[in-house]
Parts: sequence; structure tokens; C-alpha cells
Amino acid sequence: MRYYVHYSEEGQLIAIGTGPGHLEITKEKYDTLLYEIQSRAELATKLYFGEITIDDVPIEWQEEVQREVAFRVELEGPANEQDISAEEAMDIIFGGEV
Amino acid sequence: MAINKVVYDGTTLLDLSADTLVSAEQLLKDIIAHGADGSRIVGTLEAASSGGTKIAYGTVMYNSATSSTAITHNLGVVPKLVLYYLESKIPTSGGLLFAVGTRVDPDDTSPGGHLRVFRAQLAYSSSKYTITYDPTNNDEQSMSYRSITSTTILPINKANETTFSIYNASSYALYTGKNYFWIAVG
Repeated sequence: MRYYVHYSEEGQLIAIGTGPGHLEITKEKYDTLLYEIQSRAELATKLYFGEITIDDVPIEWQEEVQREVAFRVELEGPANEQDISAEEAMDIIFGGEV
Repeated sequence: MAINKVVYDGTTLLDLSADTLVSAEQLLKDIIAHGADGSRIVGTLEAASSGGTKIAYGTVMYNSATSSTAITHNLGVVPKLVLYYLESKIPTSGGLLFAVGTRVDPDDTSPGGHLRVFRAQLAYSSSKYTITYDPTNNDEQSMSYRSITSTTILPINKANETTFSIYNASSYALYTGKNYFWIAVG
């Protein structure tokens, strides 16, 4: 299997994936990036639902996580205005039963 | 030296000379066989090679809610596309993205031709999988699927002979940190 990473012209990590295209990387590098992306996404979800504060997020990730949450608030509104509970939403996001 | 014919005591025991396998491009990747000239051939044919129905597949995971990326399929034609994600447990009802795109006009093979995309939901219950197609979300330019409460822009937007684009900018269409699977059929 071929693993790749897609960086922007400014060097920002856009996406990782498998298949053709973009910059080929090793599985080890892919797994490292995958873990980082998933960890950041999980922190953003927890921050959105108020389960953690920004201080609980590693400093080097705070800007990205805050930006992620800001977009989510812009598009979906604050978590406390959602029709479903945080637990239900987490289930949907992380693949639990709905 | 490659041998393609073995004759013993006047009897032909093996004769590859009339076989039609002559090159690695004819054989699926990593399959090993012998060509008509008797030489050992390790197949190199992948989905992007020529001939028949072509399939390419892969995964993509976004790092940012505002990222966009072109996915390379290399099929040589504008493909039909499926984009979905799976978790360890498939929901018993709805909630799972299953987006399918085809050309709006089957005769329009122009590069970058837009796709018609619709959403469906995949569920698993009572020992069977169910795909529910939602015809009300059949639209060239918009698709609402991102559940919870938002309506977002379709993730698959354009396709040409080598790539298709997933636009995530300003639409927050795909979850970050989630592994999306894609299949392109040409």
C-alpha cells in the first residue's frame, strides 16, 4: 500500500491518505501523522462540547484546535444549542451507534 | 535461458509458445507467471492501466476543517465515485456518510466536468446491511450530509481524467481526523 501526505505550498499539512498522488511517505510516518490528526480532532470535539478548556490542549496545537472549533461554531452554532446531547454527538463522530 | 517448450521422447510435455501472455503489463500487479517465450513475468497491471473496467481506491484524512485536496485516481477517464467512511462499528440506522458521484451528463467527458452527487446512508441491523438513497439530496452543487445540524457543500466537486477534488474550504464538509474511503470506477 502506498501512503502519502499533502502539504500546502506554505508547508502546512492538509491531508494524509493512501493511494496514488502527492508525496509518498513511509507507513511509520503515516501512522505518526494519523495519530496526531486524530488526537487534535478529538481535542477539538471535546473543546467544542466544553469537556476541556483550551489550556488542556498542548500549546503547539492550540491555534489549530481553536480554529477548528471556531469553524464548527460558525456552521453549527454553539454546542449548547444543539438538539442532541454531547454524548450522542460524540457517538456519531466517533462511530458509535446512533 | 527461458524455456517455453519441453519435448521428451517425441512427446510435447509443455508448450507455452502459443500462450498470449507476453508482457508484465498484461498481468495483475505482483502476480507471477511465465510468458509465451518462457520468461518469468511479474505482473505490473494496476487499475490505472488500460483496458476493461478500471478501479482505483484509497483513503484520505483531513488535518483541517478548511483544507481542500485533489485525490489522484489516474484512471484516464472521468470516473464514477464513491466516498464514505467506516468506523469499527456501523450504526444500526443512518448517520454514516455514503456519497456517490457520477457525471451529470454521461456524454460530457470534458476535463473537470462536474459530478452529480447524492448521499445515501449505510446501516447494519439484523444481520444485513442497508443502503438508503436519499433522492431529495441529489444535487450538482450541494449536498447535506454532515449530520448533527449543519448543511454543507458537497465534498466531491470536480473530476477529470487523473484527479477528483474534495472541497473542504469554508464548507466544513468533511470531519477532520476521520478516515474517508474512496473508490473511483472508470
